[in-house]
Amino acid sequence: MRVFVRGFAVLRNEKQLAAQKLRVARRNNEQKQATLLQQKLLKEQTAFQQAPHCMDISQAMRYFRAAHVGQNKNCTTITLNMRILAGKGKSAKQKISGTLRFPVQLKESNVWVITSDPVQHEAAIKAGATKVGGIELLNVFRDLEAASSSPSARSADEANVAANADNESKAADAASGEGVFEKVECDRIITTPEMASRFKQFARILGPRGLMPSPKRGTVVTEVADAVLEARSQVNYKQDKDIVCIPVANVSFSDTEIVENILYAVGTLRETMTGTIGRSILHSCGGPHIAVIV
Amino acid sequence: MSLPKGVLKQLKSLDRISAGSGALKFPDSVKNVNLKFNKYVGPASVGAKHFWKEYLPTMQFYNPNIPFHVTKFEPAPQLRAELLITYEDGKEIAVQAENRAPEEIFNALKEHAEPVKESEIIKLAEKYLY
Repeated sequence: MRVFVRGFAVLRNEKQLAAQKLRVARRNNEQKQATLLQQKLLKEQTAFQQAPHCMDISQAMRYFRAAHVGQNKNCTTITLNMRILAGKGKSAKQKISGTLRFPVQLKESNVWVITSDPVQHEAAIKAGATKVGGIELLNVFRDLEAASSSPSARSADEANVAANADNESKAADAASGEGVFEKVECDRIITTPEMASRFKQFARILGPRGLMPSPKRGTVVTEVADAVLEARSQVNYKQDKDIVCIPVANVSFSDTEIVENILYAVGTLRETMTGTIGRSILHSCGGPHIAVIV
Repeated sequence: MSLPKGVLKQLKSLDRISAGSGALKFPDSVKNVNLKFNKYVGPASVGAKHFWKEYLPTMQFYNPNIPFHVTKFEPAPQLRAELLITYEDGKEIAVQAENRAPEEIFNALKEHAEPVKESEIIKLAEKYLY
């Protein structure tokens, strides 16, 4: 009873009552704004679905193929752009992000596997790794580090190398740096735990390129084959404000292939998020924007 | 009926493809069409390049089953800009594109294809313009 009286006395404070009213008003206003936004976005979605540029996938692909006639297929990536209508509660504020493995791969990525285990070599080749090797493959990074070292150090190295007549061509490569840079055309390096410590000396070269193997990123593993399969066909996506963009195809895809990829992407998104998908647009770089119903 | 913001602009860009100049329908016996011109575009092959950008998208749109290729070759004395039509029976017809304006190439191509009927041309933005 005493506690209640004290509490009652506190609430009767005019300042606090005013603050409480203000909080309630602000909360109501936020809810009202959120409801209005949802209604606006739903209205936009309906308007887009009724607009004349909303069409089925086969007709949309006809436009894309025409827009990119004669172009290299790697320059004609088609992206699915979706607006996310957030659900209610705390989960509404969480941004969506993740990785996808499409049934039809968008592009072949170069995966290197560096391990001392010959059994893992065979597994990596079967899984589709571009280059497989042991310690000898690390020499490529050593060359790269030498080429990108400071100009004074490089000139000293060149002087030493140029003294040797047999290595004249190598010196020219090191001076330009081009020959060495061409060798490291890889998107991901996968290694086993016993080799991981050897990469520390090349961290300055590999780190900025996003190639440094680490257990956290899943590139230092005991079973190489699974990691290679994952790395070959992964597409990352991340929500920016209320929009999610996912590259789903390129112009060389058939209608069924692009439908497969879109269904997979939308299905995965619906599983991971609490909200709903609003208006969806297919677009390509330099090409038209076409609304689709997903 | 009013359109959402930015949609009219997209309809116009779609119309540039479907209702552009170059609405020709090739016969079903055509296997593929290949436009060749010099990699280093000079006065002789600039018409072919403009033909690619202005006419070829509409042609591809109305002939979805025919693959249209564009080949840029290294300069060589025997190679000239041309548009090569290959038929299923192996027959090849070359339309000269060297030293020609895009309109001239298009007029020469009309002999081997039929223009698309006015009723079949898709115009999405037309009724929203005024």
